[in-house]
Amino acid sequence: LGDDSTPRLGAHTSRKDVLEEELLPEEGSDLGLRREAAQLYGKVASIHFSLGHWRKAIEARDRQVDLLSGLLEEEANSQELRRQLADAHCYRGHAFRDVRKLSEGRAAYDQAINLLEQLLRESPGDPKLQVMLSNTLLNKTTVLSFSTGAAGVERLYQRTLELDEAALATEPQNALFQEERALALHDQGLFFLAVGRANEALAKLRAALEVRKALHGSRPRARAYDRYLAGNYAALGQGQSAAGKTKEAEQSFAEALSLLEKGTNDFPEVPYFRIAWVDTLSHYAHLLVITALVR
Amino acid sequence: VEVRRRIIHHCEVLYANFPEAPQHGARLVRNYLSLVALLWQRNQQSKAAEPFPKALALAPDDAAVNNEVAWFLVTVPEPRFRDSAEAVRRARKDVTASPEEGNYWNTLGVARYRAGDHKGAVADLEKSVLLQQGGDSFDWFILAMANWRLGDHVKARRWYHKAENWLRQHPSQNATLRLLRGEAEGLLGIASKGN
Repeated sequence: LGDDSTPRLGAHTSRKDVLEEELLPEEGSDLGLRREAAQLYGKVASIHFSLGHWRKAIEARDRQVDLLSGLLEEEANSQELRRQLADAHCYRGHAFRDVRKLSEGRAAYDQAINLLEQLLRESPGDPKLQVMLSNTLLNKTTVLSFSTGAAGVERLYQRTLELDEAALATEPQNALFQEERALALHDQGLFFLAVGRANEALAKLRAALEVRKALHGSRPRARAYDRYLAGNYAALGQGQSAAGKTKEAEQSFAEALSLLEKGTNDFPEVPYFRIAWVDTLSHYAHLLVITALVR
Repeated sequence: VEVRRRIIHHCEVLYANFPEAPQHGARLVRNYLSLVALLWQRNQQSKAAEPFPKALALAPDDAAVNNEVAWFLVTVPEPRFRDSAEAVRRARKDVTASPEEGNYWNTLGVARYRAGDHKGAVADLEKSVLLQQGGDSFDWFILAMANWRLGDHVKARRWYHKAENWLRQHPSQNATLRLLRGEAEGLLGIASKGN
């Protein structure tokens, strides 16, 4: 993400175009070609998504879904194809969410969830499936209303954490699984904050930050992960601010802003750093106003 | 003020570079308006003259932007910025373009309440409640006040208590919600329970 997205997008798009325009029309019955094309559409969509080209990301994902659905008509029992299809629907959900088409986002996440629930029934202890489902459920919460569906949202967070913990029981050292658990704790903390349960929020956000700091310190990470660590500091700052702990909140916001400023300057073409920076600055501004009012 | 100006700079970059995402326009306008309110609070009214027209002129056909502006025009504490007629015009445009968006009906309801059309406000807010699976205190406080002004005091108190119970279960720092609660308590003659 960030440093070499644009060249990779060019290379993948060229290969995709050759497949789409020259090989698929003539060799459309070739399963290998169609599998490769589906994977390439997924890669192209991911890069468009990272660069904020949501319309193109959705188009590429739709094409990937078409290809995978066609392949599944011939290989209905293929677990691998169904996993890929679930993944494609999940990413469609992200793109719809980011352009505020929330009902389309919900429908896409539900399609992914149905596929993953079925796969998990077939392979109940598969930790990768547990984490895929957990991540999709977590993303579904981002297109639901906290104010009108709080109980349902809370159940989703609970299930998400149970799935992450089940996966970690099988593979305790798996960094990706730990990352997912941190994400679930973080999002659950923000949810508690939004519904006014500040103490529970702070506990979850601190737990998430501990996991992330350990992951961050233990090995070199892709710079993209800075955004998540920064998000954790920013969320903790919000929680501390809500609890009246303004000094601690200022420190947390400062940590977040430092990471995000660097990310935004290093990767100006990736929107997510700048969006997170804006959001964190907004929370910091709110804290400054509250502090000034109290003084 | 300086932090808010920095935020606006980044929002302008996002709005210019990623036009596909509708939230960037809404985010930008929200920050222009926050700066306006902040400058006004700090007695720097002349400086507020710069971001306010920018907010009004930004993307008039963008529903999310319109909604932010309309909401500001009817909920800003400073009465000199209030303009319920303009808010009704913008909110009507939004509900015509996106009739299934409950949040836009809520804005229209608040705007019509402020404009003195209490019957219209009740209809809009009931629609908002319907579309948002029961709604929330942003609907219920205004429903309490509009019903009170229409003479239905029983219904008014019922909506007020619903809003107040929800707030007790979900404490909020939202300044607009506190403003609406204070107004409702004043109108209905209820002693404040707010902290």
